[in-house]
Amino acid sequence: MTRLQGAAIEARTGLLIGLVVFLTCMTLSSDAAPVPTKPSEVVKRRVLVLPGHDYRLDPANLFMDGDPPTSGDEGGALSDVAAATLRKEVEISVALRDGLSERGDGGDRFDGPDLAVRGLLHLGQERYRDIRIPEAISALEQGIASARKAWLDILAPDVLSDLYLYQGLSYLELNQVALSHAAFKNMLTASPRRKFRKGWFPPATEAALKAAAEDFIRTSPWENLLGGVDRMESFLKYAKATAVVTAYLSGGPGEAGQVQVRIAEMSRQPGSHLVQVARADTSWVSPEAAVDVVSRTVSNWLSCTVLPSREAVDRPHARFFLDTAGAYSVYLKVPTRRIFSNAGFGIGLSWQIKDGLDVFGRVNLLNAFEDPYGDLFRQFWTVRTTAGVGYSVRGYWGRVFLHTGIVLDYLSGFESTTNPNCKFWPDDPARCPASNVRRPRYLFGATVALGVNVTIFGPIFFTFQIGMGAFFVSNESDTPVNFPLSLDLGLGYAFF
Amino acid sequence: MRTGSSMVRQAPGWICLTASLVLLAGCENSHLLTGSFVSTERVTFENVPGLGTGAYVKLVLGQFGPDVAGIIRFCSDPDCALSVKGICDCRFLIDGRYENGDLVFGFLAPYPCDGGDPEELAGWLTSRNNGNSLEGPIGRTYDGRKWTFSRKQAAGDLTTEDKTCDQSFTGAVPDSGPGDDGADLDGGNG
Repeated sequence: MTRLQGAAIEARTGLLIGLVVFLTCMTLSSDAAPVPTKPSEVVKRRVLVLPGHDYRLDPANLFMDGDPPTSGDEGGALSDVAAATLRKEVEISVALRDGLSERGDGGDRFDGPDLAVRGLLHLGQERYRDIRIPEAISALEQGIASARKAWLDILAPDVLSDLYLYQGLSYLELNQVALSHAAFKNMLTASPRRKFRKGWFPPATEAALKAAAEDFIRTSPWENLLGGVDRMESFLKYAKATAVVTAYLSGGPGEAGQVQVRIAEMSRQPGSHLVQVARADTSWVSPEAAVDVVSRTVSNWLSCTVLPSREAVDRPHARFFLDTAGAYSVYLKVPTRRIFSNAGFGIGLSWQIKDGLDVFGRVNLLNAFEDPYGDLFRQFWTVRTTAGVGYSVRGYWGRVFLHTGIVLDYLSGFESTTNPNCKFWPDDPARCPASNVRRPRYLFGATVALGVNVTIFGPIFFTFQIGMGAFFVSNESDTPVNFPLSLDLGLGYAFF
Repeated sequence: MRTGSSMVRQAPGWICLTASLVLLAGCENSHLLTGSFVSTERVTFENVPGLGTGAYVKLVLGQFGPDVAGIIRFCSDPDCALSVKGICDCRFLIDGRYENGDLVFGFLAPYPCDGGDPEELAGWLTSRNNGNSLEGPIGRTYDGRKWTFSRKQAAGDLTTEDKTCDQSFTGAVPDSGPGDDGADLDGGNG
């Protein structure tokens, strides 16, 4: 080797080291993107407050002289108190019936279904008056189904109450007393304070309504909100709320009655279900005491429940990992008598498609160094390209990954021989037959690599990986260079 | 049983192995002998045709780990500027090996130069002074006199011309035949 060649090798080595340092510095000096932060506005939790009802019925007062009052449900005051208490907490957004029926968020509007249901009610009433009872029942049942589907038992209970009333009256005309009884009870569930003018209905009908009211007091399951947990969960999703508050008054004739408050919220466990988290059952004393019970119960729950500011914020995981690394590699099978080293740098990109799975690509540029016996004629460059899929475990500390894929090596100027005459007289065909020199150029195969990315600060991470490959295809028939073992060590940047 | 001193001797080997894995090249000097060497005096080859009165011998070597290639040149002056008449000016080394400080090689006798069946000779030279001189027998056998060769050129100083060997006949001896002793051409048997 001449002095000139030696100087050239030193210059190439210096250039290589310089490039690695430059890339590393570029990575470190690049603007560190801020870790995603929470927006400045207050994040609110949405809580649904159901309309309160006064279920304290007195069947003896179901019929009254003159026109019955159109309102007078004292339960409504309880829900107003609950809403007012909730509003004091800035991280709570209250969802009320009126707000839901005027949704402006692009969801279903109630004008459509409400109008359709009212149409079916009107049709059922007409058929009933025409004594076309089966047709009346059909229209009314269709109306009831539509009303329940559109949540009118909460949003427009009077409509549903009328549907059940005429359903009960129709069944009564058909002498189907049991079905009529159930329909009247449903009517009272929708509007428990409903009264009727005495003498408006025939005595038999009045008796049936009164019997239904008596039965309603004894058997109605107050805890069964909206007819079941599943339906309540559906309504919460519809209202985009994660908790529901309901307050009502219950009790039969001659009893003081009770103030009952129920608060349920979606469980934070996987497969979340609605669970009751707070309740109050207090004897009725006065409207002021009832208000106090509701206010206290809601306040207690607020002090314990998970509000957005108390919630552990899940930082997002990085999706793209870009790294630049110093690279070292050896081929475990070589035509030279000793393994020779290759060193350089590489750049890699990995896209985390989903948890545990990523795709990657990597390009390494490596310079070969002289083997101890000089079997390599000269130094050469290797361009190594790898691509494939990876399996990984991620955490806030970084990730561990196993990458598998394909590898393509391009060897620029690989020439080797073990014949010393070829080394001493490389350009003399008489001393060095061409068949004594191996010249692989392209190598294609499979690779597997195990690596780790460890977060240093923010999006900057340290990366290390060790990989192994095997070539199956080469421009020479017997793949004289094979089984590359490689190490990569460097720094990277994670994109969120 | 491994002695302490042998372990000490092997320690650099382990260090070398580790370093060669971590770093980029091996430790051993696999080109120690590369360069040229000239004998310090006329080398006499007993009973070798054409070399009866001796010649300065120049070795141009290329060492590649354990392998050594090169040429042996026969000269009539210490600077090896003039060839010995009546023989081939040079020969290629055959199967040159360098192991444990010893250079062993073969070469064809320089006479006859063209055709014929030249005798195969050999050398067994030991490296001295960190590869700056070689010492040992050269000729028909390994039990002859030891000759000394000192370095004339370093590896980087070798030129293509230095490595060129046409194995050409240097021409007839003006007075007494090849070499300085025409009788040698008969095989040295008188």
